[in-house]
Order: sequence, then C-alpha cells, then structure tokens
Amino acid sequence: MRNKVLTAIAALVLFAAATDRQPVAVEFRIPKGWPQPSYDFANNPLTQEGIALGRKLFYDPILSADSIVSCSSCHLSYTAFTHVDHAVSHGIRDRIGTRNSPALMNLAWGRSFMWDGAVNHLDMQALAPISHPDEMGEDFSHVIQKLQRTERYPELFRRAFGDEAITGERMLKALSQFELTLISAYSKYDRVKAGAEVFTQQEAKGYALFLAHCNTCHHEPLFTTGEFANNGLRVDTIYNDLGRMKVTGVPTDSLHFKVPTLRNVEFSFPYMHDGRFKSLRHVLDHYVEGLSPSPTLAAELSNSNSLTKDDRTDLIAFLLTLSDRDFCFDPEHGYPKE
Amino acid sequence: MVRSVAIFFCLLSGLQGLPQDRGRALRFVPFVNAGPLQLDEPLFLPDGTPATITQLRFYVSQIRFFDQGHIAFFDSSCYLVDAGEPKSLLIQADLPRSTHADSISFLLGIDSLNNVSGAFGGDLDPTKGMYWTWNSGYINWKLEGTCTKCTTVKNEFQFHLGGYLPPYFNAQQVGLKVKDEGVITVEVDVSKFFAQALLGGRCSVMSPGKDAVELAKLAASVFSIPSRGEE
Repeated sequence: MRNKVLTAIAALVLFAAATDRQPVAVEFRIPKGWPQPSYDFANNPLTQEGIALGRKLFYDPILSADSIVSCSSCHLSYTAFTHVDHAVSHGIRDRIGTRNSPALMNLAWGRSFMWDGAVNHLDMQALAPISHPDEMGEDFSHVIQKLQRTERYPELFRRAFGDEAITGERMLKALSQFELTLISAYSKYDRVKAGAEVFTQQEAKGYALFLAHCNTCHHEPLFTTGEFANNGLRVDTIYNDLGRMKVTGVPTDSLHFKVPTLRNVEFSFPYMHDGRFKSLRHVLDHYVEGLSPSPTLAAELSNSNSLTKDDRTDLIAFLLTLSDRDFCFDPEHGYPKE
Repeated sequence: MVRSVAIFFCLLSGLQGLPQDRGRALRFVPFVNAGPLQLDEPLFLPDGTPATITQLRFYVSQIRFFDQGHIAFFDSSCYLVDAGEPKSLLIQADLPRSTHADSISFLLGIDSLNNVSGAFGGDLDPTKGMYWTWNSGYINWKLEGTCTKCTTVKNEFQFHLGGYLPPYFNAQQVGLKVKDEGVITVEVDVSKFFAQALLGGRCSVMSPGKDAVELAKLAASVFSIPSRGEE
C-alpha cells in the first residue's frame, strides 16, 4: 500500500516536472463575426511561454545597435502601439525615418506589412526595423549573438521552444506570438454591434456616413481591407515617397500606400504614411477638399463628395467609438514585469 | 546464418566502396578561370581585369534525380551552398547508391511558397544573411568582391539576386546530364558569370527586377558537369 502511494506521488512529481517543461498552449480566439485570420498558427502555435518571450523581446532595447531603442520606442502600448505625436519616427542616435510608425493591432489578419507592403509575413516584419540604419541599425545575426550571450534569454527560449538554442527563426516567431495577441475588438463600436450599448444620435449619423463614404476601403470589422490605394495625397517633396511602386515596380502602384485600420484612430495621430495631418479633422478636410489629382487616384475618391462640416463632425464622433481603452491599457500588453 | 548474411553485406558494401559512399550526393566545386575558386585571393577576370571574390553563396533546392525521364529521387529541402564553407559544398541525397540517374535538376534559389511562409530555421534562417530585410524575400545568389572596373566605394561589386513576385520571379531551374556516379560533381564556373555581369560598369544589383532575372539566368548557366572522368 505504502509503495503504491509512493509510486503515485513519484508519478505526480514526474508529471509536474514534465508539464513544467511543456509550454502551455494558448488558444487564439477570433472575435465574433470576424473573418478567419491570415496567420498560419500551425507553423507557430501560441504558448504562454512563447508570448512571454516575445513580449520581453518587444520591450528589450538589446535589439538595437545602441541598446537604447526597442520595438516599444515607436510602438507604445498606451497609444495603440504607435509613436504618438511623431510625424515620422526616430531611431538610434535620434536618426529620423521617413514614415509614420503604424499602430499595431489585429496583425493576425494582416496579409502584408509596412506602409508599402514590402514585408509579406508577420514573422519577417521585425527584420526591417532591426536592420534599418535609421531605426534600430543592427545586424540581425548580431542580435541573435547578443541574445545568446545573455544570462536570461537561453532559459526563456528553453521554456518557449524546449531547448536553449536561440535562432533567428525562434526569435522572430516569439515576437510574432506576442504581436498576435494584440487584438483590439472591445471598442464602443464592438459593444454596440454586440447589442450591449447604443450609439448616440451623432455617432449613429456618423456611422451611416461612414458606411456610405469610407467602408469600401476601411472595411469593418477590421476597418481596413489590407489593400493599397492612392488616397490623393500630394507627393511629399522631401521624401518623394512613391509607396508601393517601389516594391512592385508596377507604375499603376505609384503613390499607393496601405489602407490603415481606423481602430484606435483617436490615439494614432498624426495621420498618413508621413504623418502630415495632425488631427482627424485635417484628414476629413483632405478627403473633401484636398485630393490631389493623379492617374492612380483611388476610383472610390474620383467623385467628389459633399460632406458638410457638420457631417465631418458626426463622422469623427463615430470614429471615436473605435477607441479601445481596454486594449491600450491591457496589463498583458505593457512592459513585462519580472 | 546471421553471420554469413552479415559477411555478405560487408562484401557488398566493399564492392560499392566505403560505407559513407552508401548514399548519393552532389558536390559543388566553385571554379574561376579553370582553377578552384579561392575567396579573397587576387585573380584576373577573363578580360584580364584584376579582381577578388570575397563571397559566393547560393541556394539549391528541389533537387531531382532522373532515370530515363522518370524521377528517381526528389528532395524538397533548401540548401545554402557557401564557397567559404567546405562542408556546405557537399549535399547528401538520401537514396541508395544503386539508384540509377542519367540527369539531375535543381532550383537555383528558393521557390515562391518558401518566400511567403514566414520564418524558417536551418539554412533558411534569416541570420544566414540571405534574406532581404527591407523587402521580404530570399537572396538566391550572392556574389561579392572587388574589381578595378567598378567605380563604387573600394571598387566593390555586389550581386544579390532574388525576388519571387511575377514578372520578376528570380529562381532558375538548372538541368544537367550526369554520369552515373555516386557523388556527382557539379562545377560552378563564376568566370562565365563575370564575363557578362560586369558589362557596362554594372557592379551592383541588389533588388528584384529585370536585371536580377537576367543575371539569375546567367548564374544558372555556370553549372556544368566536368567532361573529365575524374575531378
């Protein structure tokens, strides 16, 4: 009898030790009514340990050449993971980039990344800022070597991936795991859709205007189609940024930029790929009065619209219902405490 | 009985050479000017221009062995061949020595699917320096060095060939008739590449496009099976 008890205890201890070594699977929950995500989780199953590792990497300036800039430098959780109040972002040694850092959310549904779609997979996105001389200015293989030399990371990689090997693949996949958890789906708009709240009269009017004028490109529930378009911005004479054409080499892609999500748009100012508009009012004024003619201008914008000043105010009232404070202040998204 | 079977197999493997020759393999031998390529050593291009080659790396994938038109072997793996890493020059094929093959083919580079499917490890790990960070995609062929013809900084030339999007899909099929040997030697004669690549002062191609496709076709043409019986 005693032997049996001891055996049982030993089995339990062994079981506990074994489960301690196994990363704990995390289910990816698709918000109700949303499409299937584009990310293939089969190649990178979410685990608590993988997400924790990715989060630590996201907040760690070891990724940059001068160990000062981390991902979060330009993607701050409290402002929907963008560099608030910076038209374009600055990287190591205060070098200034050429584009506005995009807000990070709902990345599992992204089919391409960056304003011009130059990156084709979430896993590979981090390579761009890490190696860009104006951002983190590092060599990726050197980042991996630095991680290997730390005391902390081999253990964190072991927890996430089963052994202490730190490879480029694992590092990128861990970062993806954390980023995939950044889901914003709990705004007032979402609660209204779920029947838990109602729009004010002004918000409802704005929503109707949104459906009539904006929803083709900023398609709900993600508030983007993920496609590229020329939205009538005058070419910036300093950056002379032609957007997607530089990636595809196709002239019809000239001045095409990624349609950004409008979720949390309240926090992600300034707006556009170069951050040229400081407020939502400026953005709407652009769409009504400021469109620059171009052979590649989006067909949706070719007919001038007649949004009155009041319409624009109502539209903004609706756009503010896309703010998701729970997302911005989610303790799981912030700087990881040890 | 067991013993006699064991002896029989020992004899059999003895007939077929050393045990490590059991499988078949591809051995890449980089050449320049009819001699083995030495990285960082001074050399002369076919037209007499002094040059050095500091790096030659390329991906080989989708290796196929054919026997009278039928596929006798297919390997879906991707291999990074690096002139500076002798071990990488030999690619073992997991098939019996007895398999007949009269021709082989491989893709010089990485196919579209592997270019759009996220992070991979091993030879495809982005730490290998064969992945573009600013514009997703693998570099199929990387040749770097110096040449007095180049008016670039330090006379450097850099050919990074890649791209998976149409119309500039970069990876090229290479097909070669082979003698039926255990280890198939494939010569990689980069002088053929230089003869045209550096024409007109072109010293750097580092993005997908028309030039990269043209040079990739050129790169695919530098592979050959030596006509000599022995290496």
